Parts: sequence; structure tokens; C-alpha cells
Amino acid sequence: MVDGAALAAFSMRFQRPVGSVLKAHPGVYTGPDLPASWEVFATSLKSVGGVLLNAQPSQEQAIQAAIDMGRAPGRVVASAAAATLLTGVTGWETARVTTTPQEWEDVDLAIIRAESACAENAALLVTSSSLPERALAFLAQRILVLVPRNRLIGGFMAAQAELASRLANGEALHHATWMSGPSKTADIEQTLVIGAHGVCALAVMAVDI
Amino acid sequence: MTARVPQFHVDSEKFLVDQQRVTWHDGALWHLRYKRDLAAQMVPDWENLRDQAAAIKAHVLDHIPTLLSQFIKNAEAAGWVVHLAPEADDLKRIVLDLLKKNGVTKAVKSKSMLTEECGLNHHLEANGIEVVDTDLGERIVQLRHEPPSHIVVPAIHLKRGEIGELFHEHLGTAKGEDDPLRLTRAARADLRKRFLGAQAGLTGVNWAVADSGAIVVCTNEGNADLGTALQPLHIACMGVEKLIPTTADGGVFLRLLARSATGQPITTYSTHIRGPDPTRPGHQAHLVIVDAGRHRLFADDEHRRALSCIRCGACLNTCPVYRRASGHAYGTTVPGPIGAVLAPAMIGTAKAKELPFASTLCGSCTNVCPVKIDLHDQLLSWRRRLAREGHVPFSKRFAMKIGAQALSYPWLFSLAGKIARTFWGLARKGIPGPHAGWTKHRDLPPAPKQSFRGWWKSDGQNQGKPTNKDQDHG
Repeated sequence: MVDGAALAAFSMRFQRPVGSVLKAHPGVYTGPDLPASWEVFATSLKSVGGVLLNAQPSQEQAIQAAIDMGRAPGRVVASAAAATLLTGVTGWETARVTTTPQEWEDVDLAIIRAESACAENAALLVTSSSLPERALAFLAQRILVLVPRNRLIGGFMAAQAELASRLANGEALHHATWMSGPSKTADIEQTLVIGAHGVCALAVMAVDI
Repeated sequence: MTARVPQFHVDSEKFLVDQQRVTWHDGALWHLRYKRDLAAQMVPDWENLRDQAAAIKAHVLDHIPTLLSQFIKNAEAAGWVVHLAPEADDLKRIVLDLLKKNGVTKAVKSKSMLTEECGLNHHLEANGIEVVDTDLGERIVQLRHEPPSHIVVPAIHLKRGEIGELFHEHLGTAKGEDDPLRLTRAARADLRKRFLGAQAGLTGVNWAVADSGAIVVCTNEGNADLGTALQPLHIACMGVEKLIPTTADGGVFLRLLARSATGQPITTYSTHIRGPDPTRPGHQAHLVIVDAGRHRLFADDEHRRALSCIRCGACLNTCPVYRRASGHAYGTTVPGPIGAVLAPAMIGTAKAKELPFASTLCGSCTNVCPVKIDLHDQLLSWRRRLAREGHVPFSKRFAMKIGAQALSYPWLFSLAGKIARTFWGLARKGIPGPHAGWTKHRDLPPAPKQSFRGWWKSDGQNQGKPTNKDQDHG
């Protein structure tokens, strides 16, 4: 616990003088009502280097194709929350609860489940509720994010408001990450490179649950 | 901030020597500004968003003690161990003690301008702890033993060939390799080992949310997430001004930050963290809340608003002086217009006396600032204060006095004009002496043959066939 006297002394330095007119909080900002359109989401996602996959001809077949995509797949690990959506799909293992997340270092493809998606900026919400296996999403080379089709939100103010109300209602989340596209950097001569420290590729699929 | 005294006129010269590099640097940063414009134009409520952000920040600055108590209460409930660091030395001591107590010899660190400002890395290294900066740009400048030149793109002053050379030396890439993709992959492979092997992760804080006890860290590279999800100890360092009231308020800043910085709709990874990870027994999460001179800026009614800065870098990217002089010219951790506003309060007017003059006062910084800090007005007001405190050189004060006299007497103004037109040709070849700098990198336009008043009296009024209304201004 922070020492009360130390906090008081520290706070004193940032106390407005007695009698100052203090500015009130401007209130909750809702912003414009943006459409919850998967087309808009796909455009936003493309602009940040990700790709939206169609669940065609069937959800299972599309996920299987994503797993088998390109080169011979290495280790494919699904988070516990995503595993329940993978019936009929083969070639993957469920992430076990671990105190040594380093063991996901060699994962080629991670499959995780996002709680919501935002059309405005292609952000996908993962939290300690849906992804207690947090490091998995950052150590894997590629990631497939499954998001319930009915959990698309148009504008980011509304998307963040949902997270805010969950926290306000006392949900004890440890982490909550908005993930928008694969990791990237332009630190060398402003040349965009996809794949900095996190995943080198990110695909999203809207799924029916 | 760093202890050395900024010498803008000397250090900018070092960068300006290489004109090709200056042109490239200017263009690269202007491209960031351009991408920012495109992103802002795509947001229908952009100006409302800026207003909201400015209002939230104004509220925060009036309520720091309340928000701080609320934040600490919620943070401790979430399991954070909170430390207060009134001075930079306290931050250094607290972090070193924590690392030593936990037997840490290797730490990874994601971007934090605050720890850069306080000289944390040097202190830890001097005490035998290896600290690896994990943001690619920061890693590059760390390997070069130099400070970042930009708060968002720290290695923007370097060309790919120099980075290739550096990586050849330190990471064993092929000699002559300068492809950004392959260089980035080499850094990725090297830093991945360090993420996996580190016993502690240090991070900065983009903002801290009073009503939830969460800190929010934003990166594009994923380095703050890899630097907190793997190591048994997390130490986050934040300036006290980074508090915001609510999680919902955070949405406003998430919409503004990346668009202003790089033109992305949001940073790739925007992570809220509340204390230690319950799935990893023994995981510790510490949070150091720092003053380190911020109270001096806070006490300054004219410049307090500068504490609203969210470190997006937009004012750097748009600044015609920064784009040509580069960040190292400023000699402070935060360069550019915002750096020149912060420095006089943080390191004192005597040390920072040159920085408020490193501006054309064009106002572009103010126009792009997502939290609407009136940067160019603040620069001007610092100039006034520097003049009042006697930090303006005699030549400048003398010239101002002369100017004021000339503008007060029409006959003197007219005479001064005549003299100027006579000697203009010489001046165009370059002003000699202590003011040579004025003509070193720019040319004076040719002198007019006569003054406006002279032209008006002779034939100007007939040529223009002015209306009666226009003549009122003649």
C-alpha cells in the first residue's frame, strides 16, 4: 500500500490553488453512429495488413483451409475459447494452461477467439476472459481470429463503451487488448514491414455460434 | 530531461551538413503528416474528438489529486504494487531495487519517453543489469549509443545503409544488407531470444485509467505485450499527468493517437493491463508514478496545458524546423514544438533558452495537435518570458529596440528602407559576422526598386484604379 503521508506530499504538488475554478468532466462522448458492416470491417482490416476470410463453403472447411494454407503447417495451437469452435477440424492442439508461456515459442499458427470486432478500425477485442493464454497470440508466427458474426460493432466509441461497462460492473479482467492487424514497424526508413515482434500475418473469420 | 544544455544552433548545423539527408528526412516526416491528414479526414467527428480530448485533459489537470487517489485505490485492488517517485532519482532507485531484489540480470523494455528522460537505462546498466530496448527504432539507437531523434520513430534520422552496417556489426547480418524487411527479421529473431530470456519487462504507460486501475500500453510491434506476457516481473513507469478518468475516455485517445501519429486507425496492439497475471503464480506487477519536474510545469499557469500531451509526434512531423533540423538538435528527450514548450519548465529557462526560438511560429503544430495544445502561442509566451528574464542575447534585444524605434517614426522607417535597399544586394550574398546563420540556408529575395509608399505616390494609384474604399487604406 502506498504510504498515506507520501501520497499527500506527492499530491500537494498537483493541487490547484484554493478558489480555482475547476473544469468539469465533459461527459461521455458517443461520437457518430457508424454502421456495423462486415464490408467496412474488411476494408479497415485490409488497410492494417489483415485479411477477412469467408466461412465458405462451410465454417469447418474454411478453418481447415486456413490451417493448411501455404507451406506445410508447423504447430497449430488453439486457445481454449477457440477450441470449442473447431469441431470437425483436424491438425491442431488445445493450448494447455501453463506457467511457462515460453513453450509457445515454436507455434506457427495460433487460433483464438475474439469477443467483439470493430468496423471503424478493424480492432478485435481479446481479454483475460477469452484469452488467458495471452502470450500465445504474440509468440505465434500467424494468427487466425474467430469472431462471432453478431459481435461486430460499428464505431469504436461504442466498442470501447462495452469494455468500459464490463469493467464498471466489476468483471475482474487482467488484460484487454484491441488487436488491429498483424504486428508491424516502419522504423527503418519509413518502410512498412509486416511482422515486427508479434504475428507476421493475421486473418479474421466471422463465425456462427 | 537530459542534463546537457541544448545548443540548437550548434547541433542543428551538424544535421544540416548533409543536404541530401535533410531533404529525405523532411520528406519522410511530411509523408507521416500527409498520412495523418488522410486518416483525420476519414473520421467524420474529428474536430469534436479533439475538443473532447482537450476537455478531458483540462479536467484531468484540475483534478490530479482526486484522480490519483482513485487510481491508486483501484490499482492496488487489482494487485499492482504502486510506488511514488517525486524525483528522477527516486524512479531510478525504485526500479533498480526491485530488479536487484528479484535477482534480475536481464530486462527488456518497451518504449517509454519518461525513463529516457530520467536516464533509467544508464543507471541500470551501470549497476550491472542488461536492459534491451525492444522497439525496433529504439533498439537501433541503443546499439548506436545515441538518444532517439523522434518520440514515435526514434531512428528516423538514419538511412537504411547505416542500419545495415549496424546490424552487420551487432546482429551478424550480411555485409551490405540494407533491405528493411530482412533487417527487421534479423532484429525480430535477436529480440525474440531476449523476450524469452528476460526476467523482467519494463514498460511505459500511454495512460492510466482511474476508474479501473488499468494502465494502457499501445504499440504496433507487439513488443510491450511480449515484454509483459512472458517475464515474471513487470514494472510500468508513468508520469503523473497520464491519468485519465474512465475506460470510456480511453476510447477517445485510442481513436486520436495512432491517426495523429502515423495515420493508422488505431495502434496494432492497444492493451489494458490490471496488475499481475492470475494465471502465472508468483507474477508481480509494479507501477511507478513519477513527478520528476512535472510539478514545475503544473504550477505555470501559462504552460500547464502542455502536460496534456499524448506523445503522438504529430507536431514534430509537421514542424518545418524539426523536419530539417532533426531531433538531436534539440538536445532534449522530447524534441520538436512540444519539446521546446516542455523544456523551459522542465530543465529551466536558462538551459532551454534557445528552444522556443527554434520555430517559425507558423502554427501548424497547433493545428494538428490531437489534444489542442496551443503550441505556437506557448512558444511565443516562452519567448516573452525569456526576454523578461534576460535570456535573450543582446544582439536580438538591440535589434528589437531599433525595430521599435523605426516603426514609431515614419521618417525613420522611410530612411531605414532607403538604406536597406542600397545595401540589399550585399546582404543577398550572405550576411557576415554573428548573424551569418540567417542567410546560410536561405536566400533573401531581390530588393524592390522602390518602397510601397514611393510606388503608390508615383503611379501605383493610377495603375490599380482603386475604388474609394481601397483608397482609405492607402
